[in-house]
Parts: sequence; C-alpha cells; structure tokens
Amino acid sequence: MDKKAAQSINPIRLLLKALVLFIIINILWAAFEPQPGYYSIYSHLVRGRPRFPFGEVPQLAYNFTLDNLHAMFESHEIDILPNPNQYTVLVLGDSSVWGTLLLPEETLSGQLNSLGLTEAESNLPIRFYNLGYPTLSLTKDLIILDEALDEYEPDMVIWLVTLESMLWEHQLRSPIVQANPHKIEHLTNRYNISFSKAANQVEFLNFWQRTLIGRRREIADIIRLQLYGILWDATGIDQYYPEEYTAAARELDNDKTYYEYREGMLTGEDLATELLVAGKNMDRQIPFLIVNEPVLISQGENSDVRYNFYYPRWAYDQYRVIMSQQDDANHWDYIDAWDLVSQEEFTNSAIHLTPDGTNLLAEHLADCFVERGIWITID
Amino acid sequence: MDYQQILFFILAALVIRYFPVSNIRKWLLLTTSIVFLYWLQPLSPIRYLDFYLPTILLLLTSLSWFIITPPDNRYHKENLLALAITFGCLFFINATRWFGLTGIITASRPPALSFLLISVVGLFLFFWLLRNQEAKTNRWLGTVFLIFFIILLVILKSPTLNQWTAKQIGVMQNQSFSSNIRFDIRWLGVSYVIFRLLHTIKDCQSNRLSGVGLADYMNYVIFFPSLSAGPIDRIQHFSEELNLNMPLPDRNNLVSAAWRIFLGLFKKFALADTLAIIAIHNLNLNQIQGSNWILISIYAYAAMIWLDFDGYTDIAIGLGQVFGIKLPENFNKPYLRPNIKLFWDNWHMTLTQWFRAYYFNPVSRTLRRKWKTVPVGAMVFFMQMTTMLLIGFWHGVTWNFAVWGLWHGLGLFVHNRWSAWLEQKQQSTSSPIWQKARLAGGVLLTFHFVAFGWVWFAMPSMKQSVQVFSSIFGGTHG
Repeated sequence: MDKKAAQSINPIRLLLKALVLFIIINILWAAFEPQPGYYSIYSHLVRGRPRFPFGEVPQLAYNFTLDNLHAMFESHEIDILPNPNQYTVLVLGDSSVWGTLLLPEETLSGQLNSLGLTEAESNLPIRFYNLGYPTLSLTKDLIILDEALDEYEPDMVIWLVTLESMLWEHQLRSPIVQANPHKIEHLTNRYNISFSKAANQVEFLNFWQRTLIGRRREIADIIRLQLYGILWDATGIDQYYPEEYTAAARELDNDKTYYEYREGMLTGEDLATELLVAGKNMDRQIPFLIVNEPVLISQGENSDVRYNFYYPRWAYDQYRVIMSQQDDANHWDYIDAWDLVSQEEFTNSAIHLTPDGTNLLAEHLADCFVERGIWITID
Repeated sequence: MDYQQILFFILAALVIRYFPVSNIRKWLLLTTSIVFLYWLQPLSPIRYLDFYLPTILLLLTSLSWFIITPPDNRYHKENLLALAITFGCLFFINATRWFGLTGIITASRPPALSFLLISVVGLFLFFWLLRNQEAKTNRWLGTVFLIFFIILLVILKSPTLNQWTAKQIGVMQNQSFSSNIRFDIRWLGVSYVIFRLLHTIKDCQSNRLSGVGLADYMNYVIFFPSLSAGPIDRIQHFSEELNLNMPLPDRNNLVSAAWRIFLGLFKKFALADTLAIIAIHNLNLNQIQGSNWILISIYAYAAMIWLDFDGYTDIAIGLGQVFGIKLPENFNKPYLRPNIKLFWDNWHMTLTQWFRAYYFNPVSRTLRRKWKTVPVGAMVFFMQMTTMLLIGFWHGVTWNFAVWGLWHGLGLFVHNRWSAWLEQKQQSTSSPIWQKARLAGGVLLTFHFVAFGWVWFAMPSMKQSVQVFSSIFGGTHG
C-alpha cells in the first residue's frame, strides 16, 4: 500500500466499514444458504475419486472426512453420469464396501468392474460405482442413495448390510447423518419414515451456525478437498495404508451381551428394515439387490459364544432369521453371504476383507446374477 | 511461528508502543524479546535444551557487545540497567521451575539454578578480565569470536555434526537415547542472530561501528518480530530507528502496518500453507505419477517457499512499523525478474547484501589486488561460485544445499558473461515488441532456472533430487 493511499484512510472508519460488510455477508450467507459443495475441480481439472472422501490422515492419505454431501458427490467419479452407453450399478454399504485397507481396484466395485460383465438384455458393459461410506448406518446409505438416484440414473443398486448398520438406535449417530438434517427431513416426508426409535435425533443448524463464520470449517474442508484432489490425481492414492495394523480379534470374550439386548430379545422391531423397503421403493423400475455382507466367523477362543468382536452368536443368528423373514415378506432380491469368507481373509475388523476375500465376494455376486440371467460374462 | 504466536506478537507490540511512559518502551521491548526468545524455542528431546539455547544466545550476545564496546562506554548506567534487566529476566524464567509455570514461557521445566549461576559468573569473570583491554585486544578477540561463530554455525547446519553434538549434550546429562527419537539441536533464529553478531563485530573491526548501548544491541539481535525469519537489518540503521524514542504511530503508520501484517498472514497461512499440500517433498516424490504432475508440484514448491518467506517478512516489517522501526525489505517480486542477477537482487535481499558486504566485495578486492593477472572471467567464476556456495551452506551444510548454491553460482556466472558479451556486441536497438518478448522470455527462463534449482533445496538427498529431474524428463521413479 503506498503512502498516499495510506494517508487517505481513517483506520476507525475502515474497521467499522469492514465490520458492517462482514456482518452483512454473514447475514446474507445464513439467509440464502449457498452450497459451496457444488463447485469442484474433480472431473474437470482432476479425475474423480473412485470412492467418497474419507480419512483421518490427510497428509498421507490425500483424502479426509468431510460431511458436505454435495462436495462428496462432486468429488466422486460418478459425477460424470448419467451415461447411456453403460449399465450403471451403484454399490452401497459401509467401510467394507468403501474398502478400508484396499486399493480402489481391490474394493468390491473395483473387483466387479475387473470381471468385465455385460448386461444380458442390452449388452451394455456394466460399470459398478463404489458409494460405500465407512459408518454403520442404513440411514447414511439411504441419504446417499436418494441423492444418487435423482442425479445419476443408475440401472441397478446393490446394498450391502450387516446387523450393526441395521439397529435403529445406530441410525442417526453417524456424523454425516447429523450434518445433513435436511436430508433426514426429506426422507421422513417423502418415504414416511419415522426415526423416533433412533438413540439420538438430528438438529438443524441455528442462525449463527448457518453464517459464514459458522460454516467456516465446512468451507475450508471443501477447499482442502480440491487441493487433495490434485494429489489424488497425481498419485492415485486416496487412503493411508499403514505397514502394520491390529488384526480383527479372533480370540473373543465369553460375553453374550449385545448392547442392551438379552439373549433371544432381538426382534424385527429393533432393526431398521423399513429403510431397506424405502430404498427399494425409491425407484421401483430398477433391480435392487440386498446383500448380507460376510462377517468374520472366528474359530478361536469363545467362538462358540460369539462369531466375532461385534456379534454374539445368538444375536447374529436372530438377525439372519429376521432378514430371511423380511425377504419373504417384501420380495427382496436378497443374498445372504454372511459365511462366504473364511476368517483368514479379514483384516482389521470383522467386516473388512482382504483383496482375496473381496474377490471371493465379487465372484459370488457375479455368479448369482449370471445364474439368474441378468448379467453375462464377456470371457 | 503459528498464527497464535503472531497474534501475541501483535498484542505485545501494541502494548509496548502505547505504554504511557515513553522512555520505558525500549526496556519493555527488551524484556518482551527475551521472553519471546524462550517462548518460541521448541521443545527438544534433550533435557533442558529449550532453556540452555536461548540462555547461551543471550550470553553470546552480551559477550559480543562487550568486545565491540570501548572500555569507557561499557559501564554506562543504561548498559548496567540493560544487563540487570537481561539477567533479571533469565533468573525469573529459570525460577518458573518452582512456580508451576512450566510450558508457559519455556517448553519444558527449566533446569536447576546452577547452570544459570555458573554462566553468569563466567560472563562477569570474562568482563572483569577484559575490563581494561584496549581496542587492539578487542580486535583480536573479535576475530576469535568470528571464527567461533562460523564454527558454531557449521556445527548447527551440518546434520551429522549437529546430531553428534546433540548426543554429547545428552550424554553429559546422563540421558538415555531411544533409537526412535531424532536427537538434534533446533536453535530458533540462530542463523539470523549469528549473522547479526558477525556483522557488528566486522563493522567494529573496520571502524564502521562504535559505541552501541547494550539495550540497543540486545534489541537489535533478538528483536522478536525478525527473530525467526529475518530480515537482517544493520545495527546502525536499527539503533537509529529505535532511538527515535518510539513516537506514537500516526494513523497512516498503523493502517500501513495492519495492511502489511494482514498481507503477511494471508501469504503465509492462506497461500503458502495451502500450496504446501501439493508442493513436492521427499514423501510424495515416489507417489507422484507423470512428469506433468512433478512439474506442477515443483511450481507449487517455488510459489510456496516465496510466499512463506515473504509472508513472514511482511509480518516482521508490519510489526516493526508498529514500533516505528522500519525494517529493510527482503523480497521485491523476485519471480518477475528477467535474469538471475536481478532475481538475487530481489530475493532474500538482506542476506545477499550481507554476503556482498562481508564476503563478495572484500574478497573480490583482495583477489584483484593480489592476483592482477587472473582473467576477469575466472575471477567472476570463483567469486560467484564461492558466494553462492556459502549462501547454500547458510541454509545447511549438506551436498544438496551445496549443489543448490553452485547451481545459482553457475547461473550468475553465465549471466555475467552473457551480459558482458552482449555489451561488447553493441546490439542495434530492437523493436519494442521484440524487447517485450525478450523480457517475457527472460522472466520465464529465470523462473524455471530458480524453480528447478529448488529441487536441490527441497529434497533431502542428491539421489532424490536426481530422481526428480529424471521424472521431469520421463524417467521412472526410484
């Protein structure tokens, strides 16, 4: 700033003007709620990510967790859709679908893509999109599905679930669900879903939280996501892979408890099957497959009491019975793959598979559809 | 420095500047600078090092002042007061070990009082022994100090020597070493402090400096806004500015200071820190695929290092303005310069001026006087290469910094010879368009020369630097 310019400025007036301007911008921001998440360099300057942004160590993973749903979709490779020249399949689920400790090509979607499948009727190549996100909640999946169905016109949905993601009390816990109360309101109104059984409820942002200052973290995250997009495109890395990790427990406690449920007390009322029904009803025209994902079946200590760290045997068995009944009642396309993978093919959690374990699941799913005449293999 | 520390700096600067009793401000500045010196010193795995290092720095500063000050001027009331304030601060900071204030001023609990007592007694013994020494002895002592400071700098800047010394300090304190912890000496601002001390001793030896008060001297050496990242002012200028008795800043001064600090914060924390995400470094080197991305990450590094450094300079200059002290500029659009000489005239200017004043000019003069038959080209080559090599070593005594320095030395030499050849050729005046094109080409060429030079600077080893160049030209990684 030159001397002449500095001389003509009254610092008090300057500060007051800046303050007034700042207040006005904040009020306008809160009133109109602009959505900065819609602006993205992904799929324009850099390639889209094969899975949603998620991670705790951005400096190493070139990826990190944020809650802005628009920014998440804008950064995803799915954002170039719809594409009439392919048969689009969305794959929903938790961290096992997202692919913790797996390279993008090793995830379920990646492995399904590598099978080179074609849709039987149209002969279009099938392209699978990884819409998994590492929290255990069907509501989170439903929010993602609702967004994706409207925007990307998929031809099929595969939704992987497990008991932990189905408990009502878990439904609104996830930070991404908490950060998107409008989506919950939308689901409630559009599909007549009641979340009253959830342990906690979502809260709308108050006026101050909606201002520019209130949303500064969200905006900063969106900008950071663009920067890490450059590194993602430059390196192909979107996850931190530690050299060593703690393996999922095989030696288990002699403990039959499952949250507050006593043995035999888990019922259909406790599971959010309505959300699966709502998901299926979102678009009745397209095939909709529900998969009970593989879990670690331990052969170690107390494996007669528990299958794994998450599940006592009685609770998980009960859950499978309920899912089977719901399948019959609702005419789902349902595959129960719970025991498909041996305990050696699990990594750091009772639901995280190794590349080989994931390959087994991918081939199993492909076989199921090839048998049903929906998909054909090129080879 | 993080932005919270900078916020404290701004508050401290304002409090000192608006302190109602004007002739106390200089002393307040001294006290604050001493406290910040300890506060900024990072925690070290070596016990008490975060107390030892600032204390040694203050002792060295006191000693340097003593030997450059004529005996008659040493025992002036103001100097004794400055000494009392300095050691009062030291004892207070040391005493925080008993007040439960650990972590507030020093990063860890200060050591027992014995270290400080021995140091102070040693200092006063030195003062007493040399109390009546004449200027001639002081010149000799000055040379000893110059050599000592250069050796100290080499030890601190050489990773091997630094780590070895750190281990010896640890051993002396019976400290056990874990292989997981990196033991080294990270001494905040020491490169700048030593260069300030060298400047004062050299200027005193060549009779360009006489009679600076201890308070001015201390304030000059450890002036907190410029402690960690410069600029390197000259004491004559700093002392003159300081002794204007810090008049209250006028409106324009404050606006200008605020604008400069804001610019600095923006450059450092919004731009440089953002670019750091995509800038090349040794961890992402093997991960980046494709020469285009490597190039982009080098450009990002070039922009980051300039914005980071220039941002800190803006903050320092802005804070200086709050005190009414006009610190020298360090950067002036360096990447828009059409040749490498102009780049160095506008990049880290106070450092290059320092080397020009205390190495390039005097050594050139001596060489020209002694070896009159040596061709100009050879002389220029030797001087450019050695100056830039020393500037490289100032950043670190490693092969990479040496090559970085030589890279620029060679660039300066080639430019010098090219300019001399062009002058001889007496070119006909070209069209304005051609001149503009040449200027743009020069800027582009200079920028790329500097940006590729940063590869040596950014990478920790020669192998990785070569790997970057190989990747740029389509070679494979690793």
